[in-house]
Amino acid sequence: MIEIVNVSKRYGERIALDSVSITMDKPLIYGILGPNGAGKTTLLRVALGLIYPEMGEVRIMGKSPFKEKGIFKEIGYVQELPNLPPFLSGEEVLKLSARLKGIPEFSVNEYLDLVGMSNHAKKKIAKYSKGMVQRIALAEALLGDPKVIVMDEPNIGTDPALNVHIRDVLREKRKSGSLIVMTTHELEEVRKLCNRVFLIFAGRVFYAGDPEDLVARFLGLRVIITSRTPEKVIEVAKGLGFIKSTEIRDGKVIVLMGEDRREEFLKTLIEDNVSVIDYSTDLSLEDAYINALIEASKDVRKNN
Amino acid sequence: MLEKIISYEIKRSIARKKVLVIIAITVIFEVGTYVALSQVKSQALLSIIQPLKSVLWIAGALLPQSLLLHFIAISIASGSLSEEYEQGTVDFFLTKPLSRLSFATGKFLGGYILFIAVYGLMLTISLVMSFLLFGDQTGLNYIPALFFLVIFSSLTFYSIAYMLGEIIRRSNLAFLAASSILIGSLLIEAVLIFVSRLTDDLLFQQIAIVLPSWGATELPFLLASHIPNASLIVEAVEVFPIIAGTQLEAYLYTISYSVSAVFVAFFSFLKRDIPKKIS
Repeated sequence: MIEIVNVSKRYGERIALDSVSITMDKPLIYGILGPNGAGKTTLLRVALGLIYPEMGEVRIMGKSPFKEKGIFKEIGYVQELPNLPPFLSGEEVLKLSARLKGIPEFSVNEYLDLVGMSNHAKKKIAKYSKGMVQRIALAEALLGDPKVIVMDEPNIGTDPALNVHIRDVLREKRKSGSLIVMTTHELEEVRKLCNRVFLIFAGRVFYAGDPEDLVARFLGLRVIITSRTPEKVIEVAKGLGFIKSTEIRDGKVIVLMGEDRREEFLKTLIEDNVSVIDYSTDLSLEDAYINALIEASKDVRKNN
Repeated sequence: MLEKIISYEIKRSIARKKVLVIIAITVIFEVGTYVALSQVKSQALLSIIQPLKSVLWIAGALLPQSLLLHFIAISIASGSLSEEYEQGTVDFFLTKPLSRLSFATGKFLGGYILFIAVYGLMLTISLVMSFLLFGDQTGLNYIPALFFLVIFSSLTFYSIAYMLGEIIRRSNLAFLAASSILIGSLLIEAVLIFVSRLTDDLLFQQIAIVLPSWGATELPFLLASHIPNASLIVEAVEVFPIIAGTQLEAYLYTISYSVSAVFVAFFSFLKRDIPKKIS
């Protein structure tokens, strides 16, 4: 549904996007990850037809957002720290959006309810808190049940309760067939919500895949074992080729695997009569993300 | 779609304190002018005002034309696009089924309609006050033409301010730049006329006519000077000295400046990237 083909963009000498190609063809939740200045927002703004690329092409549902503005009936967009006309009330913003999208105005009440803003609908945007603006922006993006929802850092300035609510709403939308794409720094959010991630570094797509693969590729799988004989766990683990490292932390053994062979590892421990009280997996996306960025920066240095 | 942006722009402009202040100044300015004229006690001044009583509506209709009206136009137009960038609200509109051209056109027309309404208010006050304080008025058949020429001639600085708002994308800077062009142009015009009279060389006057301020300030005066018994009022309310140009020249220069500025503004808005909120 979203096709970004070979898109490049420069700001003076700085390369913001360097031949980026991304395809999002299924109704899933896609996360765009990357450090500040990596090009995430530029990529979204190019996809929305707000920034002209120097090279390349963007298609949403087969249409160019630059030329065929009618496609925006099917797109909902939540800005980073949403900016809505401050002199309008939340309800007026939704009604204006409905008029521009050609949607009946009465439908706005349903969306105000959905984001829990019915009681504050008549207040001016200028009087809202950040969280309230975010709720109205979300309602505005969902108005008319768009097939594509684009969100730029939707978790900035929001409280945990709102994050849970946003997550629930987005999961519902995905189930009903919408494609959702979001940029974020919140790795926990990515883990809980995203089906696929794109890691962008220095304007290039460095990784595309699901979040678990990102961990496996750049960190490995971390298994935490509680045992009466932690030394024995380490001894067994060291004999297995796929174990990258072991350590004892707070009385627990932390084993890092290069690939997902949890079943085999557990079987070996049981066969060797090693005590296993508890056995859990920790997909440390944060560590994997940092490792991925280190590799990406090495890669960029090498290419330069 | 255009009408939605026009009504949004009118609502947005009215919500701005700057525009509300302008409207308040307008009312005070118009009412104050007539109250001041009605309170004149000096015999010398009364002997001047007495024969002009029946055409005093022209004073209120034309007095703002020299300067105030252009500042109002600049104030409305300079913030039209630039404030959307500053508030980061351009994204809201351009991620809707709405072309950049429709958005820019709606913003331009919305602000201009508000400007026409402000001048309509000025003219209404001048008519009501002159009727109330000085009795029946004559030459009212000139009102439609005069109204049209005032709002038409204001297009020059309205368009220049709109263009600067888009190019600079900062409302205060755009307001300052457009105001500087207005004041600078008026001052240069005055100097050129002075030099022309001093040297008896008409070339300086011809240069002055080409300046953006000439057509913008002069066009309604060229018509008003034909209203019977009004020549003295026209001379009195024209802040800057009259240059003998034609209405055709004034039309031509107003159109040239306005069309050029609008073209540059639209070209810039259609072709440039839309940045994130400019703070």
